[in-house]
Amino acid sequence: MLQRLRSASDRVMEAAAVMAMVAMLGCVMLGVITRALDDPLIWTDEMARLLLVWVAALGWMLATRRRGHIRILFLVDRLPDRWRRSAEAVIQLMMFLFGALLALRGLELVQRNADLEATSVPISIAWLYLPIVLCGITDALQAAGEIWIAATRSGPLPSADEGRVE
Amino acid sequence: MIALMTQIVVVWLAAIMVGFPLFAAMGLAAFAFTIFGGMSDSIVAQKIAQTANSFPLLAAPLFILMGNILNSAGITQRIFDFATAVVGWMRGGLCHANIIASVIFSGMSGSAVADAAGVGTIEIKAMKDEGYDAETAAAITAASATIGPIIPPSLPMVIYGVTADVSIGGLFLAGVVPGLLMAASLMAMVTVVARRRNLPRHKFPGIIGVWKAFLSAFWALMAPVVLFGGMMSGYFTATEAAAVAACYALFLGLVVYRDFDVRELPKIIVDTVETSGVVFALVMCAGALGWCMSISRVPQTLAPLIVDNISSPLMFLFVCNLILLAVGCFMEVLAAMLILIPILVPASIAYGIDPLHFGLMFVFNLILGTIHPPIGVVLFVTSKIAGISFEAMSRAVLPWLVPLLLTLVAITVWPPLTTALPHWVMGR
Repeated sequence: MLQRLRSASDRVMEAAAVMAMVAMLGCVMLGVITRALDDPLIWTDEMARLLLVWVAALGWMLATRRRGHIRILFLVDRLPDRWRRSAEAVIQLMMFLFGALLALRGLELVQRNADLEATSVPISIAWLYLPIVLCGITDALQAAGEIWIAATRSGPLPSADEGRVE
Repeated sequence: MIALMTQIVVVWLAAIMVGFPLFAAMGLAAFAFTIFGGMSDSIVAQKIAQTANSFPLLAAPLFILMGNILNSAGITQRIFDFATAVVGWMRGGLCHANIIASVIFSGMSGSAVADAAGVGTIEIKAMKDEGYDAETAAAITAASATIGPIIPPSLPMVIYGVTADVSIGGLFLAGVVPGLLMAASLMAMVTVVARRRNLPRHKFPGIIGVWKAFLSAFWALMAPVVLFGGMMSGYFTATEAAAVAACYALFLGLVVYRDFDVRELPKIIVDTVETSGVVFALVMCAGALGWCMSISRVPQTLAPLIVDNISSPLMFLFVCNLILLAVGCFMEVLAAMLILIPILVPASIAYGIDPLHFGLMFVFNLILGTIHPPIGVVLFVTSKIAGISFEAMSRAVLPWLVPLLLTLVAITVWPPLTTALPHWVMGR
């Protein structure tokens, strides 16, 4: 059940990443073309920036899910297995704290900015802060999962797909 | 405030060394600063989001997208084949071709990671197939990928120009000669190594062979012309050039060469977004930490301290080189820029150093950080492509840092190498 939920959320993230990237590229090109035609649209820059925040956040979340963020592991990897597991648990506990803080403070920003509208597009500024909330939630949930694995699974810890400096 | 920031920086560096994800270490440091400094910590979440809400940064994912499309459409292969036809007859031919292909690719890409992941994939495979050991292939690829952000267009230069208020066009022009010098110094090193190791050479394909390779790669070779023409004539900005480059790559793959399978596009985009996400997580958290440093008056404290203790501008430049190379060991290029520009640029102005000269040096140093351990993002990418460990990769690249460091010394001591071209084209 949990596994199915995880893979469904990964697929949603990937689909959203494709849509955000295509929309962002489209916005920038629309800005270039309409300017060249001497009939510039005023909203393309702001919209492209908003979409960039989403692209960045979706990439952040995908990298978290695939253990893709950069870490320096050559010191930790030289520790005996038991110590390494303890170190990993402490690191992930701190990651959980970071994710939770980010999600909570992001949520505050979403609430505070819900009534504010962007300058050139009729959408709420809250859309700028919502991806930060999602990044925080993803980091916290991933960290909770990693702590569970470190505490319960025997054998080597799952290695990162990418991003580990070993 | 300064004392609090110092303690937090020490804990932050310790956290990085014990395996904490780099981006989260910066984010938590920023949270710690606001919480212990008695400020509202929601400012950290706001700064993290606002850092990405930047038009110049749009170029980052778009350059990576372009590199991935060019690779998937087989266009990087055409560029490499052309480079091989031109210089493959020299001893260690594929090493020379690797460097020349990177120079060509750097005219359309503005990121070292995009170069390493793009043309680097083809280069490493071709070199391994010809019997080169994986370490040598990966090391030359990593070293030549650093030319990408020095020869325009360049993402780090766009970010530097916006943050330090320096002409981006001027910075682009300032990078041309140093970029070519990097290529020349790497090729000189290849010549020495190739003779010593008796590396293989290709047969010269003749003028007709070179002409055929040129025609095969013609539209790809036109990319820098399209990008420069567009930027110089004012049709698009340096940032928008990345979007135009991505669309041009797509056009070449779908219409001109027809080697690109459009069904691959979603996977390419997801990979691009993930790679961008790794960079952006660092940049966004660095934006928050940079803000904390600026309100704790770190730049205002450190800049006069540097100026008071160093008398000559040249000595200041060498100290900056050391600081930037050291910081480049631990931070991603764009993240380091957001934190260090407010500290070092005011000091460079106090010494009367040309902003273009300082900007180019600043970017050059941090780019070198991408190919030396322990972080070395480009090393990480190339070691994955070559299928070797990060440690083996780090050892293999060390000799190739020598010619690049010599180029750095040259541009440090002789400013006209960077400033002559922009001053000649744009005036002072």
